[in-house]
Amino acid sequence: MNAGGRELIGLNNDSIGQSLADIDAVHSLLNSVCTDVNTTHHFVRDRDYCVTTQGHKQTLRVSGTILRNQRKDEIGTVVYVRDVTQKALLEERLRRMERYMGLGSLAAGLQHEIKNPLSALSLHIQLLHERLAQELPQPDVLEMLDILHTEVNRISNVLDGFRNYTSVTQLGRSPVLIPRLIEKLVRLLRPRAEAQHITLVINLPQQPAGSVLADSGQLEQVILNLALNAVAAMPAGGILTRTVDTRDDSVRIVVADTGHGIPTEVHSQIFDPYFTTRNESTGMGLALCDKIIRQHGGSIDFRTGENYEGLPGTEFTVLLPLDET
Amino acid sequence: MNDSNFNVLIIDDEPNIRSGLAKGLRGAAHTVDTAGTANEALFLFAKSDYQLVIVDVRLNCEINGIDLARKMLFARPETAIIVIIVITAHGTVETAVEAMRAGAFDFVAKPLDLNLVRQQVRKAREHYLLKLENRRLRSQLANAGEISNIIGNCTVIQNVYHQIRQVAATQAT
Repeated sequence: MNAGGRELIGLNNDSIGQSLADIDAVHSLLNSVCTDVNTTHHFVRDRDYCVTTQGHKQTLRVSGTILRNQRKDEIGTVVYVRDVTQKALLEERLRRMERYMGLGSLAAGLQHEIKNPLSALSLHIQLLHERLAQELPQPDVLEMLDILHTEVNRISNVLDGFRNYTSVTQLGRSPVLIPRLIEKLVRLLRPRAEAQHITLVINLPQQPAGSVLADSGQLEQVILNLALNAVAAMPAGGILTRTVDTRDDSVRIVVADTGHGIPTEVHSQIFDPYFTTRNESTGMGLALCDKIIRQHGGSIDFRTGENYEGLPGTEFTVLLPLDET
Repeated sequence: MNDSNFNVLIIDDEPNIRSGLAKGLRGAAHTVDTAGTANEALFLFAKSDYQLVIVDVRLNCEINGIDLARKMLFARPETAIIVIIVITAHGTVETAVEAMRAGAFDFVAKPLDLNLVRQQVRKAREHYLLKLENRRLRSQLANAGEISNIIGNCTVIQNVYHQIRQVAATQAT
């Protein structure tokens, strides 16, 4: 095995002469490709597997072929491994983009085809309400009409959420200073937080953090969504902390609450569209956050429950690449 | 034509939105007309006198609502105050900005809230009346300005002022 291969698989020099069957179980595909080539006498092309080294997920691609000499005699087997992490990531991103594109035009079509009848429906409900309130005022009838009106608006909100989630409009990209964004959102959030006895804490870096190239409107929405979720998780009050700092080549934004936490059984679903545990929510908030952050080339993750620093609550972390220009 | 007339034209390709909105705005204007296509709208606009036009951005024809509004504003910049009704299908903010740049007075999203639209119509009407009043005052000021270099306050000179103003308004030589 050459030096590059050893490094990729994480072996040291002592491993020279070792059989493929003896190396770490996560790389067992190497041996099975080798066996396949030997039994079928055909080459094996592009089989992917994933390993995690020091917290980084890597995608490795294995191919195998028979080694022959000039007389076409089989003299051995060649197995080669390539690190295709970046390529796999790009492919995945492309697939997701294509999916959004298809959904995006569907959403725009639905918007027009459903919003118009909804609008006509809503107008006539309002007219009916006014007429009945004048001529035949019966509280229970008016209440029924109110319900119709509310439900029409709800459908309309679902459509808007779907449209926002699927839209792949070009992001505005300008240098954004995250601390300034956070300070702006505090003013927006304070009245609601105070009404719910929630203390707002902000930890901004001593040194001015670098800026990120981003769509400030969209980023604002992400941080606001996370903060509103945090507020909703603390109906009896608590502490909402927002922290900004710089880590290597990215800016880290942490939104933490001391609320009821997220139950383990729904951890895998919270970024799914239409998934919600609250009645008044459309379930688009976190799905939208995830989409926006991915579009910015960043990542979003969370920790929750009692294991989180011995306290209940949830902590969302957003990482965004620093603007290096 | 009575200056305080306030006539509204509603343009939307959905018949039930047109009729609902027309019914809802009946008390807020002298007349409320409706059109379902850009051509119908331009025909009515050329024939009658509208102080307010409410137009849907997405019309089922070659020209969209914002371009139609531009056309109408270009034809009669002095009287038309245009409220644009925005459908959110193509991004609320972008459409709203485009509408305002085209000279729209306001915008609203579907599904329409009748009370909100009525409020906007009231605002548009106030705006129109202020513009009208402004023009009247301006012309009075201009007339008064032309003869400010004559000194005198007696009845005879007042009559001279009056005659000058009357003559100034005509093209006769």
